Amino acid sequence: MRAPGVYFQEGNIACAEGAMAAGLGLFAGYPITPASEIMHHLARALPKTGGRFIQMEDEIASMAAITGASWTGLKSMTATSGPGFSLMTENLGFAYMTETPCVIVNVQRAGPSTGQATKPGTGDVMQARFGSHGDYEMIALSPNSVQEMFDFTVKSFNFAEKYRTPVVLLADAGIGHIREKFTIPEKIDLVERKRPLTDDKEFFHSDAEDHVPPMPAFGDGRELLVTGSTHRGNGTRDTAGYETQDRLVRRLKAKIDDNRNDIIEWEEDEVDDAELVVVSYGSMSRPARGAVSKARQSGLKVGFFRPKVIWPSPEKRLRDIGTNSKILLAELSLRGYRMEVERCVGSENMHVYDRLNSLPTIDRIYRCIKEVMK
Amino acid sequence: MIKVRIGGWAGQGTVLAGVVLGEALAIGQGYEVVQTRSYSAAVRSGISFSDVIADRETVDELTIDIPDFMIIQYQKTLDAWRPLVKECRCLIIDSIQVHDIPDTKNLIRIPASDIAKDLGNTKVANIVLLGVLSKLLPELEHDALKEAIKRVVPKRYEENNIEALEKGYEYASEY
Amino acid sequence: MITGKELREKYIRNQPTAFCPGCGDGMVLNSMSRAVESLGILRKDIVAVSGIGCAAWVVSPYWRVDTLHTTHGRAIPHAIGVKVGNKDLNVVVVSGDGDCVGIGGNHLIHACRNNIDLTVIMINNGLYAMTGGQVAPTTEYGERTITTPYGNPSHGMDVTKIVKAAGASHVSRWTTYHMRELTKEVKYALRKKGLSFIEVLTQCPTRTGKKDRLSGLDMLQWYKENTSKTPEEGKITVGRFVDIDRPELADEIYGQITASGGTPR
Repeated sequence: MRAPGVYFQEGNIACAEGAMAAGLGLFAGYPITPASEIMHHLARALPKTGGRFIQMEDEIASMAAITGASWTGLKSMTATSGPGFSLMTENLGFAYMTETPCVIVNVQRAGPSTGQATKPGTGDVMQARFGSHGDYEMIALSPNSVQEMFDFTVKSFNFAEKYRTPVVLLADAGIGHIREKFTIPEKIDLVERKRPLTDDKEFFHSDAEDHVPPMPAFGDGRELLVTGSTHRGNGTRDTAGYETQDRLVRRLKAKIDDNRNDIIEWEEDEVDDAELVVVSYGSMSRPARGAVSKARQSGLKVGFFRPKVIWPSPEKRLRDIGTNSKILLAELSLRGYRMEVERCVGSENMHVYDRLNSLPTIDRIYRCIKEVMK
Repeated sequence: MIKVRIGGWAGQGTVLAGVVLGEALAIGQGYEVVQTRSYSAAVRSGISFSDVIADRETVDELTIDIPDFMIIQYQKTLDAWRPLVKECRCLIIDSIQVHDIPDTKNLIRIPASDIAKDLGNTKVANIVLLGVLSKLLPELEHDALKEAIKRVVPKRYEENNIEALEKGYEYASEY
Repeated sequence: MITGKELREKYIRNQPTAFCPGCGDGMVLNSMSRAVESLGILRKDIVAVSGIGCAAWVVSPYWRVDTLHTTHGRAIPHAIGVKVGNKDLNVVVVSGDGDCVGIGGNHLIHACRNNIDLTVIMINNGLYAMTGGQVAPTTEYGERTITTPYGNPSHGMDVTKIVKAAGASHVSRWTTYHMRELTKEVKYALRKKGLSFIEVLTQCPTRTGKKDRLSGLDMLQWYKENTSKTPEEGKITVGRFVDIDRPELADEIYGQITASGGTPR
């Protein structure tokens, strides 16, 4: 673990450093390009901080191990890319249902299937939100710089602990594999999970405003029942009852929905008077932002909007922007965020610059902006 | 804005050269820097390259269209970027690895691999080439490169790499 | 000596259980509870992890310890997270044959290779019972099940040989007929460092029994007559097959933390 200071490092390394700064207790993972540098770095650095590192037999097991570890009271994390994330979605649903805080890093690459392992893509945006089965909500963050790989990893842990839920850090190879300066600050604000009081009996229901129940650990002597089956507040299974299913699944959703204002975050620039707003996220948002600056310098009324938290989406703000301006979505996939943006701003109002395999230059997007505004 | 592309074949230390250059500009000289790398999934084959983009303001350009400088370590890399040859400001070519050298004025050829061999470590050819760049690129401080090598390269290779840097610089000075 | 009633009150919750009349799962639960009781291990120091299927219910909800009832086949990797997370806990996995070596087979092999300190109890009834009696990786060649109505065209496998080859420290097989031996074996497994694997052949009167018109008692009788503690032609061998010592994963990981200058969080 590095001391506070300024470093010139890769996004993946900044992510690993962020995890250790957040207090990572256990990392379990399986090698995959372009995410492996995270585990390489942690294999060496994590034990020195008192954290446990295990390489598992596959991504299914990795996701399972971090879930099990979280119930011993540790902060836990895994890191992968699309093919591995597909395998993780099974137990990601389990972690969600059992309200297990943990962080899953997906350094996205060009898919589908094996695709191009070293090339960036953002085709997993919908998968991050809807990949597991059943009704659920997911928090997913989208970093666009090496600094944000560090900051958002910490933030992912904080959300996971605060809302007792798995959080996806949805990076991409375009950020994971570039080097930039990043700062490890002197002071980092960390959130720790709510612990139960001695008399607490319900660890799977809460009437509190944030809907988050306290979380004990194995070994506390509370005879915990943790199950992926539908369960009552005390953990006991209810395999068929209407009330239990309704109350549990709605509360889990409300946990994210009702705390949306605390979770969502975006960056915007000169949106209010813009005729066209470029919406972009992840590595693509860098040249997109550059193109917007260039367009503005040449006198075009263009704004920039970037969700930093991609799920839940900044739905309301997108709707507002869509009412007053045309939208140009720039993304490194054909349907990454497209359906969500379209849902908010309407298809007649929306233009798309989609690209596969690699990032475009600023100039390429600038030309696209001019085309759309013609 | 400074735009440098270093291109070679897997195993030539191409990306490491990019890291050293980026580190020098970012940490040594306070630039905003983006350094990228590109390689194929195969461990021991394929073109690998590293772009270094630096500016005094935030760098949002993550890919290079036309580089100012291209450092070429391998024939196939040059072949892949032939269209850029005339457009870039200067090409720095390892003449031991590249035989089919285009007939343009904007290039400097240096037997970097042989110089590295004389230094007892063929792997430092990449740094010899960086030495040339430090002579040709006015914004780049030679000392910042030296410091970057000390931070990035493992201790036991440090001296060897610094020697390589000096050799490259001298060669360019006499060119 | 604890009475049966006291044992039940201390270790079993949510009674009566949902197990079918004549099912062997309750017998395994009884055996596990007796083993823990006689070792004097505190219930708070045990974490029981299970996957999906009838056997998974043995510990969740019925065993009164901390339980983690996971996804199908994934009990073992969840248990690894628990054990590496806190190595002071005694981690027990109870899994059916389909869960353990069907969907979860790869995890089992690697847990044995790691020799992680888990007690894995595989309750083997020779088919998928909860979902309706389908063929399992342990179903014998030629057996009829609901998905092999013309006889099993595939072969059942001897899981004890697989886990032995994969490197488990302790491997044994008993049946629900051998309750005393089973309890002793679970006791041994809980104290044994490394991966302990116990296969328990267990009657399923509902699925196999109905087909062959056998009651739970008939099936116990069958175990009695068709098993042997020494290898014998035509009989299933029961007993302890492996008992070796080799480095264990959680110890190794904690050791490396300490060696690198860290203190386990």
